[in-house]
Amino acid sequence: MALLHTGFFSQALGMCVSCDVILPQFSSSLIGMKTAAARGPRKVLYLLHGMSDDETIWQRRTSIERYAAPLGLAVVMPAAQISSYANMAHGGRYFDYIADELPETMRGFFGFSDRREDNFIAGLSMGGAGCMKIGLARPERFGAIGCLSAGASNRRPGQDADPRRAKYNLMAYGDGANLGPEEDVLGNAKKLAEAGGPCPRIYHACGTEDFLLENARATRDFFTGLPGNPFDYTYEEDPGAHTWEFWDEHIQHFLAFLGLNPENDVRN
Amino acid sequence: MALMHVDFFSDVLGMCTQMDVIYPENTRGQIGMEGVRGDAAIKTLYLLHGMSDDHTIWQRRTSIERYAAEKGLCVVMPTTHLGWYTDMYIGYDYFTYITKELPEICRGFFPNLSPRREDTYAAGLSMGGYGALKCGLRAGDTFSRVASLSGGVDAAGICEALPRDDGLWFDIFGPRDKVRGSFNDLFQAAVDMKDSPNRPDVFMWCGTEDFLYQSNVAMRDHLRKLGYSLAYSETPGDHQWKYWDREIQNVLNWLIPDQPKKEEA
Repeated sequence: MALLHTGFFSQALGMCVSCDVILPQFSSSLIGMKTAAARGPRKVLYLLHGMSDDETIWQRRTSIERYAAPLGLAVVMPAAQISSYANMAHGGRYFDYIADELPETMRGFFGFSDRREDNFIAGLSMGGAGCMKIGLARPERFGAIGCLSAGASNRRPGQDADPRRAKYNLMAYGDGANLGPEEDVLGNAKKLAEAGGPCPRIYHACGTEDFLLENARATRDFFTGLPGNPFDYTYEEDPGAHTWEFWDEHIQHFLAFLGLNPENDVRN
Repeated sequence: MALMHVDFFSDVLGMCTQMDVIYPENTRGQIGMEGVRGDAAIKTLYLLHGMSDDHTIWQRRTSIERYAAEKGLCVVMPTTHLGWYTDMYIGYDYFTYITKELPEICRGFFPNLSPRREDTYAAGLSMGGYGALKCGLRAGDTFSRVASLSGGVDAAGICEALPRDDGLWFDIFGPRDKVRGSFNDLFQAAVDMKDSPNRPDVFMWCGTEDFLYQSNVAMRDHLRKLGYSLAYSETPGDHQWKYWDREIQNVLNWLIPDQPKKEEA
């Protein structure tokens, strides 16, 4: 595996951005780890951080490179500041950047596969809600979603009593009057289910001690209420709180959920 | 342009290593500079550092990203420690790494890089000037155009001036009386390559006060006598970044001449 710290200019944001990228690399003499590299265009996971974090955090708090290595999977970790992955009412167009511009930029750099079956998006907390928003607004682009410790929305009644939280919500959504269609996350899911897809597969996990558990359960109730489970929706509720121990373990569950079979399509 | 700091594993070196990569990007609205990314496969310059330096040094001592931006060129800056771009007598196989493995790795990471020798170049300063010429003269099937700035072009001369066979120079080049005429002797390499269809075009610059000046003059005369296409220049100056900052811009213009600006639509 190779780790690339990249910096480039985003047209959507009008500024330079940072993004860490893990690329599959097959090697025969690397100690302590199995590696694989795909033939042909690579499968790729867009992995989103939470509030307070940045493009380096998955590297620093988990062993994501080691988990991805035997799968021949590329991992793209962008920085999105405290944007809620929204086209912000008071700030940058982060939804456009992550959902549309970033995949195109990354394909330009690294020749990633553009098939939806080969493109995945996951994240934790703010990034968990972000990957639901992006995956369900761009179902033609993403084949699977991995939502950790979040709901389709992380907003909660009474939340605006916390001045910092109120400010973040104001920055992202303003007064809520002019939200883009991507913000109707479950509405988009419902439309997809009714239209017969394409429906990204969804893995969803939350800890029983997590402060967002009620948000997660509301989202669970929505998806388990859909006839025929069109999203192949899978929910895991395990002991744990809003902490990296939970995410380190459950990002591995999500990678297993993807069902990548390196024996079939990589050399190793 | 995008700047990427890359950590990866080299099977040839048997260890983790680093490179910085400047990658072309079409940009509008970035202040003070415009980036160009053509539709064609991307040309690549392997830009080599000198002794004492590493993969970060061209970024830190020049404005290489700004110079490369308008050329639509990818610049790959590897680190090779004090290895003289040589499969060491006792040590690492840096020549094989730079000329065989690294281009393969880069083309794997960045599939839009052109694999053609016509689109693949090397340049460097001092030790890296030696390395760049070696890329062209010993791996001409990969590199078509190579540029040496203040290059340490006479490895045999350096070794033969040593009092004994030990230390770094011995570890790199082996017994000092066996370097002349060997694979690592660029004067010999130029002779071996002179009738090859993969003979590279060469750019050389050296300051007239540089301690390597005389050996650069000797290489200039040698390449001319053998009929190489050689762009040679010298100006007052010694072994310093203020000259390399200027001359790398001349190298880029030699590799990719400025296009006449398109009329505004």
